[in-house]
Amino acid sequence: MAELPPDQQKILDEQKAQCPFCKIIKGEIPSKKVYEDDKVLAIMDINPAVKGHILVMPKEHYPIMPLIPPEIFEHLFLCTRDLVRAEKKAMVTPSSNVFIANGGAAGQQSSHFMLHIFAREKASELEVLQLKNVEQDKQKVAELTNMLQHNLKIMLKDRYAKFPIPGDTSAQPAAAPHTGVSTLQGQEQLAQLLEANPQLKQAIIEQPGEVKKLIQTNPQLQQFFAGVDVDLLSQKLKEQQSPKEKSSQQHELDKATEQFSGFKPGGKTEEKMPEEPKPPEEPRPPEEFIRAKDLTDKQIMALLEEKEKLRNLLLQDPEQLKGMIPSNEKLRVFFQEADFEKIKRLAKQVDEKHKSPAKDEDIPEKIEQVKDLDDALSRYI
Amino acid sequence: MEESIKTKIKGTLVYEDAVCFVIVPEKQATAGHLQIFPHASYTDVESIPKDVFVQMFFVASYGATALFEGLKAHGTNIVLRDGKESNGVYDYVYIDVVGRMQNDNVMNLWQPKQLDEATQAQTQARLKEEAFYVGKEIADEKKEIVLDDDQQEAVDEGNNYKIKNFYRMP
Repeated sequence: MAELPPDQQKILDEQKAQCPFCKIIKGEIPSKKVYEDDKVLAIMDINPAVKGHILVMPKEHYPIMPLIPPEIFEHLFLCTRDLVRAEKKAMVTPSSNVFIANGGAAGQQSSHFMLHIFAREKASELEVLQLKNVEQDKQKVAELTNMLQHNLKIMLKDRYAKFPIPGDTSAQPAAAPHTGVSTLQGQEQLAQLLEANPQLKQAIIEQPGEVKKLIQTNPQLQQFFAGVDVDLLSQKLKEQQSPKEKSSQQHELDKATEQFSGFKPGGKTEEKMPEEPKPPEEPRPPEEFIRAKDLTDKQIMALLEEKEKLRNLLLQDPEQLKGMIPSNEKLRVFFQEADFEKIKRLAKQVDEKHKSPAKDEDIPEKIEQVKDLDDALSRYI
Repeated sequence: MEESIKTKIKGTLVYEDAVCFVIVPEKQATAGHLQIFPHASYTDVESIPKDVFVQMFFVASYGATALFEGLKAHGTNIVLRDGKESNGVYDYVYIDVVGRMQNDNVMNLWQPKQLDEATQAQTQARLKEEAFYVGKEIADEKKEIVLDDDQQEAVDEGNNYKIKNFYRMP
């Protein structure tokens, strides 16, 4: 299973400890077993939809389908195929269904991923599986179709490489060597994906260094950007931008990072900043990127006094701020080799001095915009 | 090579590889509704080759993820339709992938049947017997299973022992 962040891993471990199906697998809870091997278990459902209703599950606890590793996935569905055949033979039925629910809204009732096999004698006995056609918003459907046409082949590129269409020269090997710019076909596919995802495109244009660092730490992104020179791509995307698009996107990015650009020489942005309260007690170094470790406590307090929103974030949600630091260059430079707890303590002192308790509504739109950038990048993690 | 059933399915093609294809059907149950078909026409699961079956579900899994992310669906259902009584719209084996939203009333859960213990036990025994063949290659309809060398030797030994005992009988 793909490595999860520690907080998610903790939730998963807690789920596993309480999962009744994990207990069935261990033999702690009795069940009517139909088939078992080292990776998969099939049991009868105690509340069957039809006679012979079987549940098939991987022995390892996976809450949802996308978390199942490919080798287990393959084994699970090879067994499922044979179990469908077995069930139809045992129940002497002409038809069957395999039913999977991902998510509570879809009817998933257990945190342990499983699929259902139903032997079907008559369509009328399980009409809930009948889909009714409903008039849909044509524009929404068109957007979805377009998105799928662009994205599915990219998402499935490893599986496509296993079963390429004969004569199709666009099939790429699963892991292309990192020799520089990818094939023209690969570039076009990437360009199409970026057009469909403007925030990712913007991140590549404005912060190619950040995107490259993110790619280095993430195996899935590495696969996706295999053979792609991010700097060259960034240059090409910049050239493609119209001046108007450039200025509005620059404006958005400036708004997002303005929180940390207060020391820019000249310090002007396209949007007028709201009036800042009192000037700092001590003069600040006029560098674009400030490092907290280079400042005295008083200078840090002066900065925190000005930057109420940063102060509030330090006090209210330091974990969120810590999460943002790696992907934001100015934050990263500021907190580099700095004592985070000390800065937090200084923020508290400033806050107490101003007697202005942090409020949720004070968290700025700008931080939300930086967060949006993280969301756009994390979608591809 | 047999012609693909692609031409017989109504909808917009969104993905295709050598073994299966995905369409957004003309008539949809939700805004995020996909159907996955093997290229060849199969009317039951038993006739679908293993690699085709597995590939269809891989594609279904990624299709469900695409719906989840692209449509911001709250969940997804994946339903294999095998045979005329499986509540499908085609006679071919195919998979429906449906993006779900909370309380959308698309595919509500079934009412469980109350079966007595004896029926359940009987059903379990029949299923276990047939499930013996899971993972084993089936040579023909008579369920002649392919044994490896050690297994065949054990069977031969057993048969020889029985024959010897037969000749000992008065």
